[in-house]
Amino acid sequence: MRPTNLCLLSAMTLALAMTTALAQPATPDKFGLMKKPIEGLMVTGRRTFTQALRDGAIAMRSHYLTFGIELADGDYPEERMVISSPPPGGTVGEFLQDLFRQVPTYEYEVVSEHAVSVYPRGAKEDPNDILNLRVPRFDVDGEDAGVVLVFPQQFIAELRAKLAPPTPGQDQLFMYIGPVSPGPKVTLHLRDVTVREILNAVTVATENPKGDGPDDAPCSWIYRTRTHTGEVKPNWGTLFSLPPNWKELVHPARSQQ
Amino acid sequence: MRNLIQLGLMIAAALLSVAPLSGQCQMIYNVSVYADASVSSDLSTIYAYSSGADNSTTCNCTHSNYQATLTVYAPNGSKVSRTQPGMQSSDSMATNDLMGTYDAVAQQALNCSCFGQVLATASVPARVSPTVTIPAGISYVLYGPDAVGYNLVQAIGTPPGGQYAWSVTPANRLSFSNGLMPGVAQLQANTPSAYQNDTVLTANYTYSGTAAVPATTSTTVTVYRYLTQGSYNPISFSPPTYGYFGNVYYSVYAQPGQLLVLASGLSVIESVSQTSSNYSGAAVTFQGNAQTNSSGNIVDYLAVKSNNPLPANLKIINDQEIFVEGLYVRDNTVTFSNSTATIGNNGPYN
Repeated sequence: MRPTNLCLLSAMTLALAMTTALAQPATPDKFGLMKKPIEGLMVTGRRTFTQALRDGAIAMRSHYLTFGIELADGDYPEERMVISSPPPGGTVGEFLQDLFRQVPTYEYEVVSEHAVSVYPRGAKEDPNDILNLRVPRFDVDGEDAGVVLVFPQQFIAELRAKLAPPTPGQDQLFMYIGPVSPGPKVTLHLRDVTVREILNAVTVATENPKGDGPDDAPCSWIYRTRTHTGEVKPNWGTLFSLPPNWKELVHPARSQQ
Repeated sequence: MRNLIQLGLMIAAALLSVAPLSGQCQMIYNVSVYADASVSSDLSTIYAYSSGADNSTTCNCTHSNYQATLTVYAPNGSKVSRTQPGMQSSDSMATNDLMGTYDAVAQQALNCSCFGQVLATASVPARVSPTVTIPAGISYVLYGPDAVGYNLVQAIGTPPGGQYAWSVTPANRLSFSNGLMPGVAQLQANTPSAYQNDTVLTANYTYSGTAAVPATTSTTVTVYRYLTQGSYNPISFSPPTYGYFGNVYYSVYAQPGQLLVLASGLSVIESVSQTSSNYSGAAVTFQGNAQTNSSGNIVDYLAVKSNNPLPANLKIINDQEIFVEGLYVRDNTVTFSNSTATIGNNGPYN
């Protein structure tokens, strides 16, 4: 083999090794989530990054997956596309690695038995990232998780002040208007946490809902820096990423009755 | 029990007459043979049968040594053959997935004491071709990329292992992408149906170069058109926080067919703009986005919150447009007072 070909082969091998390593979770999976199977039929083909994440979660049958997703500026409303071609009978780990190989500017980590946190590479260390805003305390008692995830500024005074700084001597009134997926009611008391940690904690708190209503589906969240019209305006939303049999998974005891 | 496909029945008869001498018995041969063949439902086997009958007028002759022979010829020239004493025979042949026309040839032989061996022959073709069905169909196709997971349709070809190809009429109505499993198509709506069931999906299936008769199913390509609304019953915040909050539930309807959409995970976004306000301070609007909930509803959150008591005459009017999967489905005039929000529906209504 000629030296040029050897160099090319070495470079390709190195690149493959690097992209494979980059597609691994950023931190060890303490919960074994990466080994969970994806049993169902999954939508394939050209999808947006967030659609593809949802597709994989919806195709699960014996487990479920939730997400906390931070989209990079510029990735909405024109979302980056991926080719989703999951291997039959694959695992969550294989599915995510396949996706993140295609979007190496993102990374992810497992934060609970069900939840995966997704963010632009380096975002967690970015002091200007609003999700890294640290708050001394966060208390909610019996609030709809979906409302907290879509309108966190209603529950986090420091975030609200950052987004709408008060003018001395002028009253403020806040209107919150928009769709939510209410989700289970959550009670949380957290200290010295970031906005990202709060949102992830809310998502994790929805994993074992105590209620029994139609809206007690575990919630995923998504953060965007722009609106759907392209206006620069931080905004939050929820994702429904559950398989069709989610009630059996969330309330296994009740489903067997 | 194997389900057999009746392919045909061929009857042949040998009718011969021998000119009688005056005043003598007239010798008439009347030997019939029937051939029949069928194909197993999985196309793996050809089953062939033969049956003979001798209704000859034999006069002083005798007929004996009846033998029924059945031969099945494959399209590639190979054959199986079986001879049994008597008037009936049967045989089978494995197709080994070889498509084409097989021939079952039945031959009935007998010995006549007067004239020697007599033969009667019949044959019947047995066509082995792949089949395709669409067992469940799909009654409607939902619009939008988040709905693709609901828009799955499956064709089943026999024998398995062939190639599927889908088409639609009218051609621009929707597009296909292959699903994870062979025969499963993901449908993405492009243009809505003019009326219900005006769209025909066709599944073509080819196995080993032989095409099956295509299977078809009718469907309706729908688009989200309007919402119906539940009530808004706000809950007040407790001082030192002032204002109220609550949810409004909407059902999503698609046309044609006034279909109540029960799909969760459809994208819901809103455009909200303030039309007028008599609030003297700073009125800040926060918006969010979500997807249809687990019941397929849009749940819209409306809240007003302040650290100061709301003015008694508070009146802030907003225009609210709601979109499902990017399609405009509702325009509201939302008026916030000091105790509740009222929602004026500006349509669309159907």
